[in-house]
Amino acid sequence: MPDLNLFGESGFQNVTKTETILDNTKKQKHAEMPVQSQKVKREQKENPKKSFALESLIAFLLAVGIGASVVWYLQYRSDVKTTITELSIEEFRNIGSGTE
Amino acid sequence: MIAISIKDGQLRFGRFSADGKGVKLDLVNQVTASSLELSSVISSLSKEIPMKGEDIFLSLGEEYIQCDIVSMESGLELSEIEHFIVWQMEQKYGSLWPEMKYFYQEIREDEKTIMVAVNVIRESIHTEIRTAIEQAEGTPVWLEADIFSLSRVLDELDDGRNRGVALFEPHDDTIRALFHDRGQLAALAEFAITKEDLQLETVRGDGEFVKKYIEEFERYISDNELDSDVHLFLAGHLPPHAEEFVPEKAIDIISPVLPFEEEDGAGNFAGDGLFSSIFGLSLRSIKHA
Repeated sequence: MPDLNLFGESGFQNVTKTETILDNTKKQKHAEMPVQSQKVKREQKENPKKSFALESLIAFLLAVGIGASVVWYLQYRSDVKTTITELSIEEFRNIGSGTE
Repeated sequence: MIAISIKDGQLRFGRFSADGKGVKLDLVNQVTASSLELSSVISSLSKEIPMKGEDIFLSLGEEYIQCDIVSMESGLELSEIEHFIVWQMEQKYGSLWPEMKYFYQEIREDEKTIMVAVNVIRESIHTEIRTAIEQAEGTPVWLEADIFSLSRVLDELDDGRNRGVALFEPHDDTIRALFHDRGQLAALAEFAITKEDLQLETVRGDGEFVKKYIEEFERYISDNELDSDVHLFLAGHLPPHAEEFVPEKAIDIISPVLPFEEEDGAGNFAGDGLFSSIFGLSLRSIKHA
């Protein structure tokens, strides 16, 4: 169950371990009870070195792919031939049915 | 050790001493809180029950400490969890947020989701209560939300059986409820008590579990079964008409369990489940003994 102590560190608090009730005939005197709470990082679920290498590989392949795509496009554009047909004003007028 | 519970305008307190097995109750009492200002309440209390040299364990109601259960996807880094919680709380509190202190702790995680309990308190109240205790020459050891004191009691009542259990605490026309799923806090909820039934109004946490719990409990009552996978504990008293749809035979009414006994001087409070928060604080103090 939650074991949050608002007299402890603000922010994240670790779950304190459930302690068994021990025989204790002496009451300990403390200026302030030590609180097992500190900001900690969560444990990594995977090996960080392996995930870093995989991410680097994926990034490299993506970069290569994007670069190749750009080169291909520029090459393709230079080989594409375009034909422009320009009509004279008289030819333009002859095309339509004349709806002025 | 002195345990103090302040909620709903009531101040309840108990003084405990450590013995060989845990804690022993020396004194318990209840008074109407003289003021909403915690510094005044603590100051008045210190004249009645000296705090000098005592470890102080304090439980405050939702008028002072707000509780939330935030769910998010599993596998996040702590920084991402905190970022999400802060964002959610900023939406909730708006311009008040800079005045707040927050505390959070993971309560449950499975493959898909993680649930985090979040407590928020005004920084001014936090400072006020700590200063008041120190001025009374006590040691501020533990401060928690009242609902979590009750959660500790519910865990004790479940006694390791890890069932689906709930604790209902009636207050005026509402019931504050908390639900445990196999030993872990699953949800906080509020019900409205109407003339016909109990109506679920708000749920924080695992709403699906609350729904299943209610269905199982209703089946248990309607089928008049001898046993059930779910169990309900009641701290306090339901209004008479509510017993029609929450029959007493289906629930366990909490009496303050050990160390509250009439022989210890608990007097009129021996049967009052509203002292459960004090009991919850005493259980926490055992871990510090």
